[in-house]
Amino acid sequence: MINRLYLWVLLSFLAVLSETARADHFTIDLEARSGTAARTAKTETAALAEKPKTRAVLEAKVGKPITVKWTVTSTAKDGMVKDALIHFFVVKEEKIGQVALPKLDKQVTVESALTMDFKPKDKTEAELSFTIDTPGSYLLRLETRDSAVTEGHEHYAALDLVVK
Amino acid sequence: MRIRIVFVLAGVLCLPFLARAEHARIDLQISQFDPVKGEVKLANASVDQDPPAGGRQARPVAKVKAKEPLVLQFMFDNLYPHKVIKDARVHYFVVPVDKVGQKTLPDLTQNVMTEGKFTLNFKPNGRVGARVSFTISKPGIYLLRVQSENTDSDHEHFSAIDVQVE
Repeated sequence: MINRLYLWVLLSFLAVLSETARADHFTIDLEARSGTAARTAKTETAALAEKPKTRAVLEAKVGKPITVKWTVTSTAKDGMVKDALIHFFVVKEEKIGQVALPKLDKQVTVESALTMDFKPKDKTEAELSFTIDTPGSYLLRLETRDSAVTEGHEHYAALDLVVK
Repeated sequence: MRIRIVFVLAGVLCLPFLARAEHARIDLQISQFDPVKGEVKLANASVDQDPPAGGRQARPVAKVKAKEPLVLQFMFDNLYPHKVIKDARVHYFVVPVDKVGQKTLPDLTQNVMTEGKFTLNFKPNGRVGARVSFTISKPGIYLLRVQSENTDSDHEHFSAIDVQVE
């Protein structure tokens, strides 16, 4: 059964498809920590012909706290990006480094979304703490669901997580 | 005539509370994840405000078993129509409390089961939502709460559910 949060993210994504082109750029800083281990990821762009970089891998233990911090900052020089959707999720994946995005209809540990208008230098940030009780490989990904349609790409940052 | 005056005065006295309640809409829920049935909703709560500490509404109570897979979900909509609220925070957490219906907030620096804070420029009709899987391993009473912070107002909005773990 589709959940309300997923539905909202999906509808927001479809809504921006009808928007006109805008000059929008973001930088993303993503950090995940568990115990003393930490991994970070920076902004990437997802375009059709672009091969994603290898993701850093964080190891964590079942039931132990994992903390994720992220910041999304507008680097646009002028104008405003209206109704940008900032979408974060942690989902089980089949293997580390998997290129295909897992579906978000099951085995999603954490998912969040927020909407905001971005003027130049505006930023939003978050810190989330959670645990995972099922061992396996997980994808942590933060993405902006706006620029995909405005310039043929979207911004994202991603890490892999191995829970043992 | 006296009755009419009483009604008018009562209406005027209620206005500030009605106006405050329109600044935010929150839909908070907790579900149990059943491998066969899928998600089974246990309780949901809507918006309240602080002060008074702990709000005005009685909190719903969700009864669960220790180590049971649970899912919390909320949607927080900003209905304040007049301006963008700079650097507002939306904060959710699950934390042990002493009793059901406890009005005071417990210490959030320890024993927090799961927690998240979002800082953003909250525009009119802006929205923050999250969905988090979690379990609670020890029996007891826990508070699930999502709240606004730093909104430059004389009150904050929240929604809360008590979780009784057996």
